[in-house]
This record gives sequence, structure tokens and C-alpha cells, in this order.
Amino acid sequence: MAEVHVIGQISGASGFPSPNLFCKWGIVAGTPWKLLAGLAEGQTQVDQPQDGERANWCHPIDVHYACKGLQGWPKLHFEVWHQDMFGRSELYGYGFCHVPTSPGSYTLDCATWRPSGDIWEQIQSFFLGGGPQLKSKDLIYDGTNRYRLRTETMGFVHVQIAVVLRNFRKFGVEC
Amino acid sequence: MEDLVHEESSKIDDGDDEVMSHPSEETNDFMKTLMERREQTRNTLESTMAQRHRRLPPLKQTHKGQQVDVVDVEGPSALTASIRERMRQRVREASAKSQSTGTEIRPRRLRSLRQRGDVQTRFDEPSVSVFASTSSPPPASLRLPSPPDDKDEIVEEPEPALERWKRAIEKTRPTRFAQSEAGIDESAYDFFTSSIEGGPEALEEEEVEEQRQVSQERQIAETDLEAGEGDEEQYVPLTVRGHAEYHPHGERLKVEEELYFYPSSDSARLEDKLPEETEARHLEDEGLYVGKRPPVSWRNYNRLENRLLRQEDKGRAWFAEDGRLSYVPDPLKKPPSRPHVHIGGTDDEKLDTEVKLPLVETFDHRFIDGSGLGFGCYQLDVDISSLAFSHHSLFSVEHVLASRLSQLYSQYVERREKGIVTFMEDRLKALREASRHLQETLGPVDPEPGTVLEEQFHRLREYKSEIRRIRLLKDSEEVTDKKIIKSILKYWNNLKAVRQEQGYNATSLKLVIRKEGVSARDDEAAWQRAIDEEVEELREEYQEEYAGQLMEYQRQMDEYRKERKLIRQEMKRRRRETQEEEGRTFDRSAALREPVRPDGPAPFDEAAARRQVVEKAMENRRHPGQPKLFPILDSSALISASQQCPREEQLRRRDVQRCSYCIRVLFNKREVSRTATKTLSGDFTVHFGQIFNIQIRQWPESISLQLYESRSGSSGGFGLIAEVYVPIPPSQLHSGNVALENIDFSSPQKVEYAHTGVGSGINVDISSSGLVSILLTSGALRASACWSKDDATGKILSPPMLGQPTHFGERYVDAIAALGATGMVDIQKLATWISEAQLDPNDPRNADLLYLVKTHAGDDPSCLAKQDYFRLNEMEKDSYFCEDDYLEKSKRFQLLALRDQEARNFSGFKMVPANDSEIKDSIFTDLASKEIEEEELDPHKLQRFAVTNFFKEVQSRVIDRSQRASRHRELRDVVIEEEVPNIGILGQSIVKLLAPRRPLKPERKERKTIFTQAGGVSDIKLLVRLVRAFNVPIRERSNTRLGARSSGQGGRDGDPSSDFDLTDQVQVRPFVEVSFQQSKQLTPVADGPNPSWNSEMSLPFMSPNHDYSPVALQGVTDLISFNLFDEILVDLLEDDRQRETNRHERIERRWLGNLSVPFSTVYSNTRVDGTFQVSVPSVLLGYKKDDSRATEVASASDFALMSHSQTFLSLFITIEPPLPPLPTLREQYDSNEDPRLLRTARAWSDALERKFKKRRIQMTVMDINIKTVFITRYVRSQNPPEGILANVESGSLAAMEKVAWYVAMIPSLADAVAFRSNCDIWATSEQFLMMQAGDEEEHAVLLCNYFLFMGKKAWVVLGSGIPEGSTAYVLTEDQGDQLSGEYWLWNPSTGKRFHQFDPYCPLQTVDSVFGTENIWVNVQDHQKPSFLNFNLSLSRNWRPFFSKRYPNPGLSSVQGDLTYKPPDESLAKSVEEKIERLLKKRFEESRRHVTRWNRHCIAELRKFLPRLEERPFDSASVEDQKLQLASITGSDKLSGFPLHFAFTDVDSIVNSVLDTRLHTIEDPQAEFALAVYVEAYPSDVLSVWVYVVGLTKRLT
Repeated sequence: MAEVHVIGQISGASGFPSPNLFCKWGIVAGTPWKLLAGLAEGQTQVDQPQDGERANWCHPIDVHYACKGLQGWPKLHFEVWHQDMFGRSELYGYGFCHVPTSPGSYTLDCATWRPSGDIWEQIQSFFLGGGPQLKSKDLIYDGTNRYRLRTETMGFVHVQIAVVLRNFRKFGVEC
Repeated sequence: MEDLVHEESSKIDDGDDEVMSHPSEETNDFMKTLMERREQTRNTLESTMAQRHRRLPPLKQTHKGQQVDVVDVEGPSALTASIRERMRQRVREASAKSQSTGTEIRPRRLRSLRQRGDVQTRFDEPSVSVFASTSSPPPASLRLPSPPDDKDEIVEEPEPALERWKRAIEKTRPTRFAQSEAGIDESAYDFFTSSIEGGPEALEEEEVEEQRQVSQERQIAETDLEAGEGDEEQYVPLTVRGHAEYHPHGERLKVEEELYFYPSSDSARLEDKLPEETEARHLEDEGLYVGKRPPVSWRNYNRLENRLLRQEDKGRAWFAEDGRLSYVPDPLKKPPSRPHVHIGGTDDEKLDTEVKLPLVETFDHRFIDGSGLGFGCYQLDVDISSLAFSHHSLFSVEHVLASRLSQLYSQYVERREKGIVTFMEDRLKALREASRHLQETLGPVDPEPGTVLEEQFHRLREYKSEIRRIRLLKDSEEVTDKKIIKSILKYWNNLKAVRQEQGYNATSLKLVIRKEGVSARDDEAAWQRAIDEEVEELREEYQEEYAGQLMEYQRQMDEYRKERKLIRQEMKRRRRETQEEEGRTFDRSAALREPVRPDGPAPFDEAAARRQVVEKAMENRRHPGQPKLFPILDSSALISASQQCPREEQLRRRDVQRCSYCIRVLFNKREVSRTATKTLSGDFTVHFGQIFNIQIRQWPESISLQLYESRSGSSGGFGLIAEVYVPIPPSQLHSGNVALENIDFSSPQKVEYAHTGVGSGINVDISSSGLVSILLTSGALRASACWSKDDATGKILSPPMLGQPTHFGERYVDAIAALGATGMVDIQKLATWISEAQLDPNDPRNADLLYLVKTHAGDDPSCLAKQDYFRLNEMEKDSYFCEDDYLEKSKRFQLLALRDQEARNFSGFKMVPANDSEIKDSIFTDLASKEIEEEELDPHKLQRFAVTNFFKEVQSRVIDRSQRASRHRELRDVVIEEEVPNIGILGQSIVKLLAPRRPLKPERKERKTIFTQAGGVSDIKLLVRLVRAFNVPIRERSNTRLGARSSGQGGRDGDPSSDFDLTDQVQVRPFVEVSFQQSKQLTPVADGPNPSWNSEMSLPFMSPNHDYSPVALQGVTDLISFNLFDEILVDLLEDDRQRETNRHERIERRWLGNLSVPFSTVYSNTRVDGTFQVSVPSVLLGYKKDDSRATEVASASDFALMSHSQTFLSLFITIEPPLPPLPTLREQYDSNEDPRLLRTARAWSDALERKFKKRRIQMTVMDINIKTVFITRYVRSQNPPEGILANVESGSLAAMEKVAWYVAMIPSLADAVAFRSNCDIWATSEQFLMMQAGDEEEHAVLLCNYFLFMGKKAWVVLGSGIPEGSTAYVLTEDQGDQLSGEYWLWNPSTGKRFHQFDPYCPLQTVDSVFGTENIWVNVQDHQKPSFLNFNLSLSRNWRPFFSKRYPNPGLSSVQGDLTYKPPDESLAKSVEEKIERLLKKRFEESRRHVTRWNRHCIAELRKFLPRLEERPFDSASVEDQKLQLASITGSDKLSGFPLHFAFTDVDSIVNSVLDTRLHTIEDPQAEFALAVYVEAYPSDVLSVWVYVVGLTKRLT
């Protein structure tokens, strides 16, 4: 009934140990939501900035949702990956943020984290790269059990988003 | 509560150290005494002050009866005190001299002090007097007072005491007024000057003196201050040295002991704690829950109790009924409220992290983990147990019968075990009982509608109908049972007969029939009862019907009576009339017909019904008294020993022993392992008993088992018998819970033996049983596939479920997961299982399951949750804005989604309306069925409809696959990278400098392509450059010299006399009309048969739906058509006299030929450049081919074209701006081929492609399922339709031409247009005929297959030709006597045949040739067919793929035998009529003048057309026709031609005819002739001929 149109881009990421990054992203929404158009998940290119610590992707997001209820408002979730000089990819961070609930354009900074692992794993990843990854990726945005993870903070994913809402007022939802 | 507890506990705690602070009687008393003492002290002070009243002003006037807290009064600071002291001393000295009055007062004061000293305190201790005498401040802060002095001392030395007090004050108020002495003085002054109320009477006379004193004092003080330090003599020490006070510890303790109260730590007596005369009551003993007491040490506890007991009410409120302190149970929880965080990992699987080393991985969706390097361990267990043949070629007749018998027997046993009949009977019984019961309770009353009774009657009716149904079912089951037993007996008899006949036993089957006697009388009774019951039911049934019929009858009767009455009345009236009119006799015949009396329904015929029932029972059931028969089959018969058998049987048995089998296990079509080879046992079973563990990385797509057989022991070669597919196990199926399954297989192999083996796949006549049938080798493989279970962890090694929902709202705690049945989704099955398993509903372990099943009333997935928590999900539904299915129903959303999915017809949809109401319902059906509707206009819509549907299905499949492929982008698809200049480019640019400015032969430069997004580029133009034409037909001289007035008009300066000039040079004035979409453009008119226009045109291009995405462009079906015309100027000037001054001419055009290029060709090749043949009709009235003049040509190749009789057009077409073609589908698709073959083929072709860059080497193509298929599989001899070869000698050239003509009749459609993707998809011939469309390859393959069928040597040639670009031809080698060793090339799309050395063959290059057995690539220097040696056996000319090194593995063909629909003449007729009607209509519509049809000519044309169809390429008949027509038409000038089409649809044909512009002859006298002929070929292939002729009068 009501519709949400999210247009924007994943502009980049900063604050990571190395700026050679790419990002897998997705949008999840609850059962009352239906994706009408657009891709709800994707992957950016690998950006290898010449200088500066900010990776730029400018990856477009253009999704159109219809919903019959508010439960499960869409969330953006990210997996930031790092590609090292050998072309190997390793996980650098998980993060998620909600799509803003009122119309307008936004610049969001989504903080990311990654599982830190035990000491042995840390030593291993120091020398060999890689590191612990979540087995079930739903945990990124499904917060029920997350507090039990041991994580370390990573950088930010920057998102520029414009949210267009339609018909919400008709159902008594003031956005 | 908690607060209370805390308070309490703190109390208890405090009780430990500060008992004093508790409010208790004792402390109160103590405080009182303290206060009293304080008061006393104050009084003492007052008295001392009063004593000095005369000399010093009082510190504060005390009011009458009012106690003033000394401490609170602004006391003098130490400094001021000392100053005063001194002053007072001085004043005292002075006054001592002058006055003596003060002594009177002193004794009074002293007295009072003395009196005070006698006052007994409560404690009556000496220290009290100490307090009093020292007049120290009250012990507010437990400061102990100064040591006690003697009373006398006090009396004698009041001053030191006062001083001491002052010091004490000083200590308590250390520096408050020390800041300024002046301020103090002032305040003192204020103090003194303030009004004094109610002073004692004695003061009155003192006042004056006092004031005087004050002024004196002030004076002194001032002088003091002024004199200060300088005045040594007057210096009085300001400080008094005091010593540290010390109170001995013992004393202090002693004092404390007096002051403090220590409750005893002994336990208090119970009686004290309880109210009087009550017993202690222990709740715990009474079984009530009492919590745990908070731990308190017993000493403290006792103290507390004791202290409480000291209270007035003995602390009743604090004690509970059991005499102990009331308490609140220990609120502390044992386990921590925050869960413990594990350091070394978590127990929750979901939270698990795993360390992944970074790896370079390319994602491949075929792999479970996304890459071949996946870490997941997925293991399949394939268990192959045994193999049992139900038929084998080595079966003897006896075996066949035995296998039938055992099959039947197992069927019988199965049925008996199930007991279907018994079940039915029981059911029937129960139903009858129920209905009878119901009937009895209801009685015969008719129910009132809407009551309970009504409902029950309804139920009764339902019962009855159910009884009926079940009875029928039972009957049929009984029949089946009986039949089975009968056939078991029959086969057994047959088997016995066979054994008898051959004299030995080959099988061990033996049938024993067990009889079970029954009591005849009981049986009879039961039989009778059953029959009675049935009859009764029939009666009831009938009665129900009867009631209805009776009603109907009543109604009919009523009507009948009414009618009869009317008629009677009428009759009477008439009779009366006739009687009135005398003389006229009553005409009986005029009487109205009596209505027919309806028949009443017949009553129930019981006898008949009974007869019927008995008959049925006799037939189906065991007769009464007959014994029950139970066949029992066992294998107890002895098999005769081999030596006793005849030789044939011995041979068979030897063969059986030689037979051995093995099974290959294929996963995703790849062999992963194979079983050991096992020999066939005598009872035709093979036991394998092997389990294969297959660790997989790819998603399982298929698991198949191939059965191989070896005939001559284990050493011989194996042949594939059958392949069976094992279903891919669901993820919860593991090795623990899997059961072996029988997988049936059969094999079409044909085997025949000389011995007693019956063979298979052939007709077997088992005469004794009258059984004649084809027995195929068949059997059952006992095998299973499941996922492995890890023994250590118990984990099922199955890949994660596909397509898991990602909505987080849907994730619940899965109750079933707790049971270990994760992933089980079929709740219904679970429910049935639970009901079968009879779970104990009270067992809490089953609670989850029962809850689950109970809540599964609806299909709400949320019921799957076990909810021991509260979530808002429950309310989720309530908060929805709209109904559940609104999202699916909304038209707008549908439209948006369809557009997003790029569904057919919706992909280019630009604007979606904002509201549902603005969208018409029809939009979905409209767009989808647009094409179907068009087709429905066709006369043979049904057939077309089926074809269209099939075609669409294929198309959508291809589109789906190709779109998936098109998402795989490469870097260059996304990034435009300018080429970095390298040395080669530099070199080129240097060469460019030296190149001529204006080269004689300019070359076209490569342009950069623009990568369009959808809707990016909209201004697209088609650039067409028409260079020249060759060999345009020239006008025919009229054979009569007369009146050819309009023919051969010269140029504009043409002399009228030239009409008669035979040597007129102007033979033709050709020009070309280019038409594309809606636009048309003309070239200028040129002269002569070899015109050169060199004109460039640009035609606008519009994409359908304005969608310029590559996919949409690919689907554009528009043609660019080039129509070659001759311009004729007709002189209309009637008066020759005006010729010198006037001109009156009409321009007419005569169509000469047509060439059309599909847009898709231009699009996919980016440009079309070259010389193309114009299709000129074989008969062109009024024109002829110019054979004589083969001159004036520039180049050699052009010369070759020139001298031929064909007409050519050289042109160049491109698109501006250049558009990128759709990326070709990359060949990464699944294949059924052997991977080794594919690998080898790829390597081989890559090597050759490197060598011969331009040659197209195609080893594999895609079939319509987008699976890679090896190309040679397409070629196989296939039967051509029989009808078309009826009249020709088989194998002759004529037959070949016929076949080629038939193939050419199947319409052509490029793959790109058909499938909207740039892929080379080869349909099999069957599909090709079904679709009625295909490109050159399909045509070529079909033609080649026909030739092979006719016994010719034929191959398919891949190369490039004009105009289609890369194409396929058919190569035949003629081994006939006169044409031995000659090679012919057939164009499959036109059916024309070219000799190898024919220089005008449109096939320009030959790249490779393939046939059934091999692929050859042209490795000769040349590619032109005429330069080639087509002897394929020479490997230096033709490199074969299959060679000795890699022999052909015997690839089976994908083609099967073809079946054709017979030619549909009626269809042909209707198409013919439709075309003719439409054409005539369009002709008439588009002409300004009345169109006259020349019937004579039409009749003649109709005769020609079938002849044309018979010999389409025969030019000899052309001249005949012309002559014949000329003779008919006589004076008319003819222009016209026959046109031929392969039928696709009517409109395109009509449009093509109209494109010739024949109807534009403006001559009002012109007449027309039009004939249409449609020849029907098998499989709805139609050949359409249209002959149009325009007749103009020759002027005489």
C-alpha cells in the first residue's frame, strides 16, 4: 500500500586499516514488505584509492518497496571486504543501519565491526590475513544475540540516500 | 518491598556498631539528662554573667523565663574575650577602689551556685557537678568536659572557670570574629545600645552608670588600640597559654559505660517476643512456602532482638508469629542475570565465527560455497544394493511367465495386506449402522427447514450417498481382486504348460492354492443378508428418486389437466359455433389436438433389482459355499540341472553366467565412481551392496546411475543399458534414516538369440499363453542416495537449504529443530506422523510438538514458533494497513514488478500510473496477448496458436537464460578505456603521414561504439549508401512495332521519334526505393542496366516502446527493404502539334526486384557492406535479362557478378550512432557432453583459430534448453515427408530439388530476432518444424538430413554468404554416373543449388564442414568454394576433429525420426482466398481510379501458378508463359511478375505485393490481373505464389 522509494548511493568507506575495499550490501525488510523494483543486494567494485584513506564506490542504490505494515522497516546491511596486494579478499567489517523513516535526503555513516576471534586467530590473521567471519550473516542485522560476540570496531561506510515515501499519511503514519 | 528489605537490613547492620542512635527509651532518657545538664550549665553561666552585670554588659539580655542557647548566641571570639578580660580586669581594679556595692550580689550568685551544686542529678555522679562547675559547653559532639574540680575551687575562683569556658567557646568557634576587632566592637556597641526590655528594677539606677562605663570602656579600648604595641608599659598579653586537655581512657570508658546501652547478645526468651498467651506458630511446618532467611550472624540477631524488646511495646511489630524477627526472603538470585560470555567460542551455532584465510575466489553459483575452493564439507552417500531384472533378454519363456506371475502375486499380496475390501466392508457396515441409528432417532417426520432436525436429515442424506459411493468402490475393488486371482491362476497354468512342454524347469516358482472351508449355511445366510441389504439400499435410493419424479409427475398432471380443460372449453365453443352455422358439419380434424397424458413414474421393481444385485454378486464375489482360495507362491520348485536340459537351454544358461554388470555413479553428469563388476545370477539379480561416499562442492543437480552390461565375461566391452536418476535427497535425509528404494528402469536395446532366451526389444510370441508383445529389458535397481552423517558430531553433511527467506521477521525458534528434524517443512506430514505415533500428550517433552500441531489450524507460518516469550509479532497482522493479498493484487505494484523483471512486453514500459484506478485491467491481457490476437486473424489460427505458444515458451526460456548471462559483465562492458598508445600505433600514425591525402580507395574508419543504457540514446539513424547495381533487367522490345508509344522513352531530351527507333540506347532507368519502418527514400534515377547512384540516405529509427536497450533492439524485426524500380515516362500529350512547346508526361514505375535486410543483421554486425543479390522474379513481364552486354565493369569480381543473369546491388548500411551489439552468450552453460570431449574440442578449435583467424570453427552449439551440444549430433538421416516425393524418381536430382524446395518453404527467422539474444541456438529438426521458423543452420541441417536419408553424401558447410553473413549451406557429392565426383552447394533457405565452381554462388567462404561422423576445418589457403578441393579425406586440406588419436566415441544423435502432419489442403485454400481477397481490397483502396480486373488474364495466370510451383527454377517455361500471355492479351502491354513467399502471415505477403507498386499505374484504362496459389506441404508448410499483372492499352 504505502510505498518507500530509496534512491542513493553507497558513496564510500573510511576509517579502515587499509583503503583497498569493496562492499557487499543488501537491504532487508520484514514480511509485510514487498520489493517492487530494483536490486536489493549487490556488491561494489574494489576501490584502490591512490591517496587518502577513503575508499569511494559511488555504488547506486535504487529500490522501491511497497508495504502493508511497518514491521521490519528496511535496513541496509554491509559487509566491507578488503582486497590485499595479492588479490585476496578478507573480511573487514559488518554493519547495518536503518533506512531513515522520514522523507528527505540523508548522509548516513554506518559504523562497522568485525569478530575479533581469540588470540590464536588474531595471530593467525596477523600473519596470514583473513580472520573470523560470521557463519550466519543474518546476525549482522538481527540483533538478538549479537552482544555475545567479541568484536572490534572498524571504519565507517558512508551512504547518501534519499527516501521518498508515499501514502503513509493515508494510514495514519506521520513520517 | 525491596526498599523495606534494605531498610531493615541496614537497621540490622547498624545495630552492630551504633546501638546508641536507635530510638529507645533509654537513649531518650539519656538525652533528657543531657539537656537538663545543659540547662544547668546555662543557668550557671547566666548567674556568673549576672554577677558581673554591673561591670560588664551582658552578652545577651536574657528574657524572663526564656532559655537562651548560649552556644547559639554570638559569642565573643577568643581575641575579644581576652581584650575584654583585660578591660574587665582594669575596670575591676578601678571599681574596686571606688565601689563596694558589688559584693552584695556575689553571695547571692554563689549561693545559687551552691544550691545548684546540691541538685541531684539522676546519675548522681560527681562528674555532673563537674559539668556544672566548669560550665563548659554541652557535650554536643561527645566532647568530654574538662576534668572535675572542687566545688570550693569554683566558688573561690570563678574567673578562671569563666575563662576556661571562654576558651572552650573559643575552640568551638575558632575564628568567626577574628577578622576585625573594630567590627566586633561595633557589634558589641550595637548590642549594648539596643533596647533592653523588661530589665530588673534594680537596673534602672544602674543604667546611667552602665552607659558611662560603656563610654569609658570604649575610650579605653580605643586608646588601647591606638596605643597598640608602641606602648610597652600598657601591654597586656593577648593570649593565654593553655595546655592540652587529656582525659584518661579509663575515665572515658567509664563515662561511656554509664552512657551507653549494650543489648545482650544472648538469645531472647521466646515468651518475651510473643504476645501474651500465644504459641509460636511455624508456617514452614504448616507446609507454606517460606523463603530463605538472609544470613545474619546470630550475635547481631540476638542483639537486635534484645534491643527491640527494650522498646515500650516490646517491639511487637517486629516479631513474626513464630517469635522470630519477621523478614523478607533473600532477594538475591543465584545465577547472574547477564549470561556468561564464553571466551573460547559460543555454544550457539549461529554465533559461530570461522576463520577464513583470504583467498582469491571467483564466485560461481554452481558451487555450494560460491567457489570451488569451498570449505564446506558436503557428502552424499549413494547406496547401490542390488539389481533385479523384471525382464532380461536372456529370459526364457518360462522366465517371462514366472516374472509376470511373481509380479501379479506381489500385487495380490500387497492388496491382501492392505485389505482394501475388508476395509470397505467395515466402513460400509459402520456407515449403515450410523445411518440406521440416525433414521431411528429422527423418525419419518419431515424436517422444518432451518432446525436441528434439518441438519440431521442432511447428515442422513450424506451418509446415504457415502454408502452408495463406498459400495461402488467396493464392487470395483472386488472385481480387481478377482481378476488378479484369475490371472495368477492363468499364468500359473501357462507356466505349468510351458514346463511340461520343454521338459525342464528353468525357474523355481511354485504356486500352491490353499483352500479354506467355510460353513455353507452361515455363508449362505451372510450372502443372503448382503444381498438383502443392497436391495434395500437400492430401494431407498429409488424411493428418493421416486419422490422427486412423483412431484414432477404431479406438476405435469396439473398442467395437463389445465390444458385439457382449456381445450375442452375451446372445443365446446367451436361446436357451438358450428351448430350456429348450420350446414357446416363439425370437422373432427379441425379439433385441437388433445394433450398427451404424462406417464407416472414406475414403482420400484424389486425383482429386477434383486436380480441385478445377485448377478453382480455372482460375478464378483465368492459364491456361497465355495471355499476361500488363497494362492501362495514360493520358490520351492527345483530347477533342472543343466545337463538335463536341451542344448539351447544350456547355451542360454551359459550366456547368463557370462553376463556381468556394473553401475557407474554420475553426479551432475560426471562419473564419480563405479561399482565392481558382478555377474548375473540365475534368478536374474545382481547384488552389489556398495555405498559410495561422494564429497561434493557443486550444487547437486542430478545423481544418476548408469547400468552397464558386458556379455562375454568381465573382460569384454561394456554397453550402456539404462540410466536411472536417483532423486536428490532433501537436506534432512541422512544415512541414518534413509531407506532403499526400487528404481525402475528399462532399456530399448534389441537383442535376439538363437537359443531359448527370448531376447528383448523384439516381438516375442509366447504361443502357449497367447501373449505377443515387445518385451523390453527392464527391472528395478535397489539404491538410495542420502546425505552423510558425521559420526563424531552427528551433523548431517548436507548443503544449506536453498532459498531461505531473508526476512528477519520470519525467524522464530523452530520447535521442530529441537527434535533434530531441522528443515522439515511439511507440517502436514508431521501431523500425521504424530497422530500415528500416538504421542503422550501429557509428556512435557512432547509439548512442543503438540502445540505445533494444535496451532497449525491455519497455514500461518508463525505458528511454527514455540513461544515462551511475548513478541509484538502477534499484533503484526492487526497493524497492517490493508488485506494480506493487497500487495499482490494491486495493479500498480504488479505493473512495477513486471517492468522491473523486464517481463515480455513490459520491459520498455516507461510510465506507471500513480494510482490503481488509472490502470486498466486490460493492460496485462492486452500486452500479453497482442501477438496472439494478431495471429487469430489468420485462418488457421489454432495451428498457429500452438506454434506461437511453443515458440514463446522456447523464447522465454532462452531469454531467461541469456539475461542471466548478460549480467555477467566484463570490465570492458563497464569501463571505457582509451587504448594506451604503443609502438604499433605510433608506427601506424607515421604510416598515416605518408599516406595519400585522398586515397583512391578510401577505407572506412572504425567508430567508437556507444554503450547505451535504457533510454539513453534515442536519436538513432540508419545510414544507407546505395552505390550501384549490376545487371538490372532491361525493357523488352515489343515484338510489334506498332504503338509502343510509351516504351523506351528516352531522357528528358528524348525525341518522340525514338519510340520507333530500334537502336534506342535507353534500356532501363532504374532507381531504388529504400523503405524502413515508416520512412521511404529514393535514389536518383540512373540510366542503363548497370546504374551507379552513390547516394546516401539516412532513415530515422524508432524502437518499439522507445526502449533502446540492447535487448529491445535485438528484438526489432523490421526489415530494410530495397525495391528496385524502373522509371518510365509515359507521354500523355495527345496533340502532336503541341509537342514543340508542351510536355505532358506521367512517371510510372515498374518493379524489378527486391532486397531486404533485417534490422537485426545490421545491428548484430554493426554494418552491412557488400554486393547483394536482388531477388528478381523468374518471370518479369516486359523485361528481360541482358545477357549480351557484359561490359563496362570495373573490377574482376564485379565482372564475375555482372556476366551472370542475376541482379546485384551494392550497398552499405550502418547505424548512427554506432550501437553495441548484445554480448554473445558465453559458453559456460551446462552440457550433457562428456567433459573430456568438450575440453578436447575447445583446445583443438583454439589451436586452429589461432592459425586461421577468420574462420568460424564451431564445435558445439546450444540447443533450445541452452545446453551445449556437440555439433555432429545434429546430423543424422531423417525421413523427408513422403508426399512430396510421390511423383519423382527417388534419389534423382528432381527429388533432391523437391526436398530442398520443401525446406526452403519453412520460414526463416534469425536467432537474434527469435530469441532476443545474440546466441547461436540450434533447434532440432523436430523443434524446427514445430516452430515453423529457424535460421540457416536449421534449414541446412534439415536439408542435409534429408539428403542423407535419400542415400546421398551430404554435409553441412559453415561459412559466410551474402547477404546473411555467416551462414550454413549443404554440400553434396554427386556420385551419379554423369556427375561423378562433383560437389554441389545448396542454399537451404532458397532451395537453389550451385555447382562448386559456380562463380556466382552466394556462399563466399567455407570455414568448416561437418557431418554425422566428424568435423573438418578448412585448412586450405583459400576460402572461396570455387578454389577449394572438397575431398574431405585429404587431411592436408581438411583437418578432421576425430582422428586416430581421438576417435569418435560414438555420439548419438539428438535428432529423432520425424513425423509429419499431412498437407492441409483446406488450410491452403482458405489462405489462398484470404490473400486474394485482401490483396484485391487493398488494390482497389489504394487506386484513385476504378480498378478493373481482367478475368481472362486471371484465368490464364491461375494456370501458370501450379506449374511454377512444380518447377520453380525452370527458366525455359518463362518464355512460354510470356508468349502465351501475349497471345491472350493481344493489344495490351503487360507488366507483372509472379512472386513467391514462404508463408508466415497474410499481412506480410500483402504488404510485399503492394511494395511492388504495381497498383500505382495511373492509367485510367489500366486493367489488372491477380492470381494467388497456395500449395500445401506436410507439417503446415505453405508455399504461396502471387501473380500480379498490370495491363495497359497500347496506343494504336
